Amino acid sequence: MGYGAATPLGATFDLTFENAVAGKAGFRRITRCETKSLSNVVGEIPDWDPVASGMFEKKEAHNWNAAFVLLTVAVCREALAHAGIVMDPDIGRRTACLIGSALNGMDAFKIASEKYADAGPLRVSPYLLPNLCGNMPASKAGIDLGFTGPLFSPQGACASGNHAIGMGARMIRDGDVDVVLAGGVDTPLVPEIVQGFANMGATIKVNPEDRAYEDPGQASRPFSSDRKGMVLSEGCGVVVLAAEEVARAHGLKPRAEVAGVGWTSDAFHFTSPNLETIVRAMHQAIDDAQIAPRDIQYINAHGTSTFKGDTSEADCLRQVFGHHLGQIPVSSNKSQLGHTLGAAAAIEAALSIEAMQMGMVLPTINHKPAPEFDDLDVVPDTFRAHPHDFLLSNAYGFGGTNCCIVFKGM
Amino acid sequence: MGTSNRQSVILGYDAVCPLGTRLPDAWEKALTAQSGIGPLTRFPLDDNFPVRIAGQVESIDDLDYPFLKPRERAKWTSPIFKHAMLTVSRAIAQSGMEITPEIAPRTAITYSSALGGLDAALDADRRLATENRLPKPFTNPNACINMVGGKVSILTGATGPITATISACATGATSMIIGAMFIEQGLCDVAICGAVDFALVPTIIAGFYTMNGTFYPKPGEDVSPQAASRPFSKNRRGFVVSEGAGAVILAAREFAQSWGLKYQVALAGWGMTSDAHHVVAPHLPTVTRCMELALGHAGIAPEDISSINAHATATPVGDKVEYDALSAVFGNKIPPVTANKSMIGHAMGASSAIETIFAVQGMIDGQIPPTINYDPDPDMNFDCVTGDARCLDQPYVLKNAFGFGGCNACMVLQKC
Repeated sequence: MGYGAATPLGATFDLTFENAVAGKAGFRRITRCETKSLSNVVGEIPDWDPVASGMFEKKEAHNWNAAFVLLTVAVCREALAHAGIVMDPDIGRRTACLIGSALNGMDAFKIASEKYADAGPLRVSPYLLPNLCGNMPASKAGIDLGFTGPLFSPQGACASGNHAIGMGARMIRDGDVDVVLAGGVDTPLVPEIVQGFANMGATIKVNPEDRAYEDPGQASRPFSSDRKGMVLSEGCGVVVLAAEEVARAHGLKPRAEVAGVGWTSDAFHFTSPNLETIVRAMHQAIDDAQIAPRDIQYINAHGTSTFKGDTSEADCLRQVFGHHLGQIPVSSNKSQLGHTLGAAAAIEAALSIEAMQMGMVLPTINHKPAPEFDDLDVVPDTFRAHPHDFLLSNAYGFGGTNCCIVFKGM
Repeated sequence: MGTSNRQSVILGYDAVCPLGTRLPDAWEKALTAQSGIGPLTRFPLDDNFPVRIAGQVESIDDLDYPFLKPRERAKWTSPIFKHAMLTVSRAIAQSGMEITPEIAPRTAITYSSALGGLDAALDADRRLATENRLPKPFTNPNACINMVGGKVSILTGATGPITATISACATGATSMIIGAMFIEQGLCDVAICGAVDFALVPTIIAGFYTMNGTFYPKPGEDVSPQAASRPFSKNRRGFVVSEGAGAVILAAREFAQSWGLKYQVALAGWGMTSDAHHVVAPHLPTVTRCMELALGHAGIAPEDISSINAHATATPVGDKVEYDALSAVFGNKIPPVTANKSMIGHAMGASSAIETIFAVQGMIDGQIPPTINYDPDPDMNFDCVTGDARCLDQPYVLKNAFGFGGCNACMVLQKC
């Protein structure tokens, strides 16, 4: 129905989309914290300041020191407005809010731990626990915006956003609720997390000889020959889902339909992907949409820009789409946004749907051809006009959670 | 929802809590009105640390499970992982079911945690701040809450849908509701549900203190730890933070029947609402609606409920709002109510999983464990099970769980 987003490409969905179409990247050297790590190129939301936005009081911003809370409130507000939904108690009780996250209010925990170390236990903020808990962004959005239906935070690491969309769509189909705010949020730019991902070898280390050293915008390059790991980013994305009859009754404009959901776990390894279950998740989503693989006209890849991850994803795509794969554009928004972890899938769903509405597909920027991906059309560097009705959005998370969604244009 | 083929039945369950690391022992202690609360010893307490007691779980490290080998424990430093895996292994063993390659793709995982592996993040923070040493490579996986389910998936081989739904202190109940929803929708036949929380780290306890949620002694006061958690009592003064884990294996009724698996209790209905009201204080209208939704979904009337397993954390406001909501739903005929937190304290997200297991065990045994430390509050007039355990046949039980931020989850359990 509508969407909202705050990403390294812009503090609103419109800015994000405009910059994505323009082929821009949202990366810079980290300013949110200091780190000695070489993984110091990240994606930060430009100009995000809760108080300056006019939406929050100074005191409120002080109390809610886990950045993911107020960011979610702002994006939920944007998403509802974009959908054209005006909350009232009747719609409110039939509205669910499912906002996933991978790392939750880790920043507030760090602030509190430092306070504790400096000034003792009595100076720990009474808002620590509310800040910390994964459900609190949605809860605070409920308090500010007035919905009272089911509310929880589906945690699926980097697939959280698709978990929310998948569950939300089914809750609507079952008649449990009429409207769902489904999304994800992560604000992971604290030293421990930046360093933790670097130590895992997951994020790119920007050495002086790397092409991103002079131009940080080139750090994320999914499906390129010189990809070296993901770029860690902050972001939030929220998609508004609504039952068809509710949309009609309120004169809302539907943009896409959640046509199919596929969902599996790996039972394999905590970071290495399991090809078999990823393939099954894509097949499930396509089957659930009651279409065949050749009906998919665009694939929004998970494409994190890690060496192994992109190779595995391409292998899985070959297994599902066979010789049709060459005819289907496949692109990764992470080339422009980096990896916003729990927020990624929701942001990418919103971008893909908007692009489908405009009859185009967004690019994979920073592209340097890799022989191993010769058979893939990754929409290099610039967007392309491409009318389509069915798209597949892939998301896979640490801990072995795969969630794929087929959207049908309306 | 009635008794459809896609209704969820409970095949197996297991819990660890401050009353014991073996469920039969813990249950025996609950029936004999014992408390699991004692001194807080998880970290050194300075004289100025305001909270002195907690509900701690005894060590399980000497048990003979592969995931308890020292090497595994060194990587997965947060205690949430080993306790999740212990409760899941035992619950599956109890179910009599084997997760074969045929069943694995149809088995979902919704096992979750409200606070996750914060101890690992705190440890990384300290290493970085005080010793300028890099975090251990397993820091981020330890801190990612969905990794609990990930480890359960690797342990059991289950490859169906996986998620970890957080609703603060209602997380355990929400995990069962989402599992049952997946089963009802035909996404899976079996769901591994539950929650684990081991939140006894200094920053968290201090945070609960400064938000005025947890019990603390007044100056010069000498309170026995066992008498500190007092749900529904007139002198209740906040919850006692505790540790624990609970796993529940749900399956579609038709699946259980076709595989000849035994079950005695079904999840007949549920409701979920949010408050849109206050950060921590509960809200009467939405809490009431949550209970009504659960009854409606189960297709039963309030008078069909035989007993209530309350959320009741022992905060002055929280217990009163729960009582008011019960009054709104049941009028002056509130069925017998028990508050397990009087004995096991508040294990955060795990509490509603453990308490649901107690409720199920009570239905099977025809018993209700008492609410200990009970001293009636004149403002709350109802039948609180107190003193000794009560013998009662319970065809339907209502389980309540309410989380910070106003996440409400209620379930109706039905004896089969």
